[in-house]
Amino acid sequence: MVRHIYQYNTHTERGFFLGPEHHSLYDLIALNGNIVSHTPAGIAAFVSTTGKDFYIDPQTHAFQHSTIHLKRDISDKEKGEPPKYDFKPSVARLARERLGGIFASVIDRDRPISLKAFLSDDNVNNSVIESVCQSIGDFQLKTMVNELDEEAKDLIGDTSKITPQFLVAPYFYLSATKWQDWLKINSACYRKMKLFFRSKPVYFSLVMSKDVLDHHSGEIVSEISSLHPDGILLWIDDHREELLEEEEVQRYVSFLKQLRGVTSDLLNPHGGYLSTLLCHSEAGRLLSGVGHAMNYGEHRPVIPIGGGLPMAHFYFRSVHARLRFADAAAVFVGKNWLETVESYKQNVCKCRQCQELISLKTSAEAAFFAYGESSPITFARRTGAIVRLSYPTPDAKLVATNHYLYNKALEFSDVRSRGFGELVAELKSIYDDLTDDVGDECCSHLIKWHSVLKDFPKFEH
Amino acid sequence: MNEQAIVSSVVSAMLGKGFQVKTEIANFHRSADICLIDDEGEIWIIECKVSSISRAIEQSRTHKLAADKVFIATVHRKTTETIRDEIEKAGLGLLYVKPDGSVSEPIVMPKRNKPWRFARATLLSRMQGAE
Repeated sequence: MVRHIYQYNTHTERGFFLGPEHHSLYDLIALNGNIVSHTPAGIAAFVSTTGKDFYIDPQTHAFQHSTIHLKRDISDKEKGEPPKYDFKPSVARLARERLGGIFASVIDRDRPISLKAFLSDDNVNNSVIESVCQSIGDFQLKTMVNELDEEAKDLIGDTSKITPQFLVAPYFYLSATKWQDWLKINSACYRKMKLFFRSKPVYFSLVMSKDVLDHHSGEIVSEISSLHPDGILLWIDDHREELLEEEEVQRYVSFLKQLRGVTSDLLNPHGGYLSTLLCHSEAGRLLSGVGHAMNYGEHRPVIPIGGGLPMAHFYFRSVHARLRFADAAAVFVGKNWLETVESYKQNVCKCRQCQELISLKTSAEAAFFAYGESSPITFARRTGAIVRLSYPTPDAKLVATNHYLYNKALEFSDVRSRGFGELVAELKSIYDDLTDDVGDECCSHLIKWHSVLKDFPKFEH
Repeated sequence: MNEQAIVSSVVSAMLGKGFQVKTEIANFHRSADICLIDDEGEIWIIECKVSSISRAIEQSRTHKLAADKVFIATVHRKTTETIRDEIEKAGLGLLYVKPDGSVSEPIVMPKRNKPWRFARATLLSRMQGAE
């Protein structure tokens, strides 16, 4: 079965997981360790209400990068104070109270975890590995259960509802320069987790740079195959599928094929439509599940890039990509697709959210405009220049996210019910139909994906 | 001459023509350097650039969705023939700001857009609400 994964990142997203219109759209919840640590009782109540399977990403790699990424600016801007950074309270709590050991040291010493922390005379230090694995496993299995009071336990009933479907072994990012060393640590952690925690499957989290994928995929697969992992969570740093060149698509597909040979469950929690297509049974189910966040892009960089404001986007399912609202509007207005309800439904979208807006508004044009409703926000650039941009209203964010989720669900439904060849051929026909009007930058990925996948049966079998 | 100086020169020139002029108006995910309403009630957006004219042409796609006319204003003689052709092809207008701060008549006349009415109405209301 193809598993559709939703990432739960903030409590404000709760509504997109619950309720009859959303509950049936996804299969598995990915929780991040930070939110579980910060609000365990709230998360316990949430997951038990959904009744869905879930796992907890312990985010151990976060402690491996420069500590600035774990901090926030606490300076008083109104008093004109210069930036002053301190650890986010939730991160400090996760490290000190939940994980301890080398993770707590990151906060106490304000220095990231280095390879040296795991080595003793150039060999992997087993006692450190054991301590890390014990704390990471306990964190995933026990944090929610231990934080419930008796009343909450009575309410939830069976506490198995608040234990994850599988455990994730401690993991660190495989960078272009030190991937071999970190892979050794990750493998040692995986082996130890399997020994310590026999009641649950243990998944290997493979988080790597694109450079490592391009040049060392064979060595990575060889190492992982020796572990016989119960499952693999694959996260390629900032792997934006719409921007991949044809050779990169080819390499990605080849890598999945190799990984599939060493595990029965391969999940990509940050994948787009290309990955979803690769879940198809006629493509050998190279992936068994794909996930995304709530309408802020499927790809994700390992190290958060600071700044940036969330701008209005519209998921245009024909091209399987999120377009900036203005770019989508320019295309749809130019093609006269907003002139009638029939034209809108035929060319733009007929998801549940679009249909609801059409029924509420005076025209198809007004319905589409609801996705771009915004208020101006003002901020000063570093140069002192004042800039004003449009920031989506809460209503616009809500409908745009609903629209995104409904369309994602339709993509999964297509992969479950339609032929692989038909879906791949559709990539080219859509490209041919749209490229003259929307420009290559909006849809050239379709033809690159098609070029690789059209030969897939030959390539695969 | 920096970008702010170009903005100041163009704003003075347009106020001198009796137009209603505002600066830094939010237009979708972009900020329009200058927005004005001319004596025929048409909305102009003027993007001011010292360099990166190609980028301004790209950005103008968003502005064309909301304004009747879109211009690029830059330093006198900063543009090459190729860029002028590109500006013309994109349906944009081109203004030069001279070293003494005076602003030329349009070097390239813009085409009149057919903006999207919802976007135009939003831009107009933001101009009217701006200080």
